[in-house]
Amino acid sequence: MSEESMEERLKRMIVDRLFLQIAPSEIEDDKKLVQDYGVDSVSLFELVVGLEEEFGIRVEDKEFNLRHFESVAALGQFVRSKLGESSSASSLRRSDG
Amino acid sequence: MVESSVTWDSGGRQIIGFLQEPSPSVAAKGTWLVCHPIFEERKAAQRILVETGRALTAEGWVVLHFDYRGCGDSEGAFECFSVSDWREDIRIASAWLAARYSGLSRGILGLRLGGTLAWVEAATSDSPFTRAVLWSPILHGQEYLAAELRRKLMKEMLTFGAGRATRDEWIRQLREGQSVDFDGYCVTPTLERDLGTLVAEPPFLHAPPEGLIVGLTPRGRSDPGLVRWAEGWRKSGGTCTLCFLAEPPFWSLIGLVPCERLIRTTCEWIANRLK
Repeated sequence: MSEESMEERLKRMIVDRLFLQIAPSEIEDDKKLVQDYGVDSVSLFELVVGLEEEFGIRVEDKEFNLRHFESVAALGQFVRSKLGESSSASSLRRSDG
Repeated sequence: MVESSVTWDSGGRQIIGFLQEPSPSVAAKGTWLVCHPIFEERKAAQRILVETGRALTAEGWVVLHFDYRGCGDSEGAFECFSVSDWREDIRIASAWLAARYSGLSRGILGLRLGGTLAWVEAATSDSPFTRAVLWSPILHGQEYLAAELRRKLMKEMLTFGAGRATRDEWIRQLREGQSVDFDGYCVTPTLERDLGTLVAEPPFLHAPPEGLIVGLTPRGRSDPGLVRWAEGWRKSGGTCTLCFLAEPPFWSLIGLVPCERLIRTTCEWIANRLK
């Protein structure tokens, strides 16, 4: 069985969290979440909580910038950078120790 | 079923209530006092709470909804009141209902912050409530405010492209004595401080004899905070049913949101108490 990609995980989470009545695969990577899928401030909140739970990251207040939340592709890039931050932080901690 | 608008006085302000009663030919089984959430959640939750009241009334229960001082249709400005006033409003509303329907069992149902306020009033040694139903109640008032301020950040992001401040800055502003606007509601330093005192973490000294906690979560996933709450309730001697339903957070959504399972689960739990 093939492993789920970051974008697939994100789409599944978006459908789950926002109670969308579409299949995750119907969400296109580059389409705008706000304009094309009706994401508003309420659903964004659910989405951010979902990102934090699903990927074990923490979205800081200063990171609330629309460019990170524009599309699944943008979200994927944002989550990857956050995961990169946390893995470099943990390798730093390991090398310090 | 008879529905009527009712009023009474609380702390010198007029409270507006909405009473749902079974038809006069039906003997009432008991009463339920409904504690609504605050901020915009109150408006969004209205329809589901009224529908729940109708379902309960059809089963022979009397249901009273009301707006806290400074909220909804009740008198006063939001910024003039805080948690202690709203708790007093609950006690006065409960006494008003008991005077009208004396001798009947008394239950309390609350949603979100209304659930927490309902809990706080029901979990006292001299509480008149024998049953409590809590829908996605708030565990920590301070975390609730932090989450609401996060929503404010997201609104700013959608409007301006990015948040214009951080939550730490808003909290600092509140602690320095200034108010913060949230969705057109003025959050005062008093409210911020009082919300911080609302914590529903066990151990509990007292708990209502019977209760139902319903968490609405994506896919009906369990919420560890509500699990702890239910366990604490049981340890303090009460019985508590906990369930999670995959239904949307209707208190945040505009428009028709289907919540039949929530209403059915609640009505069935209440009906089973009489068996």
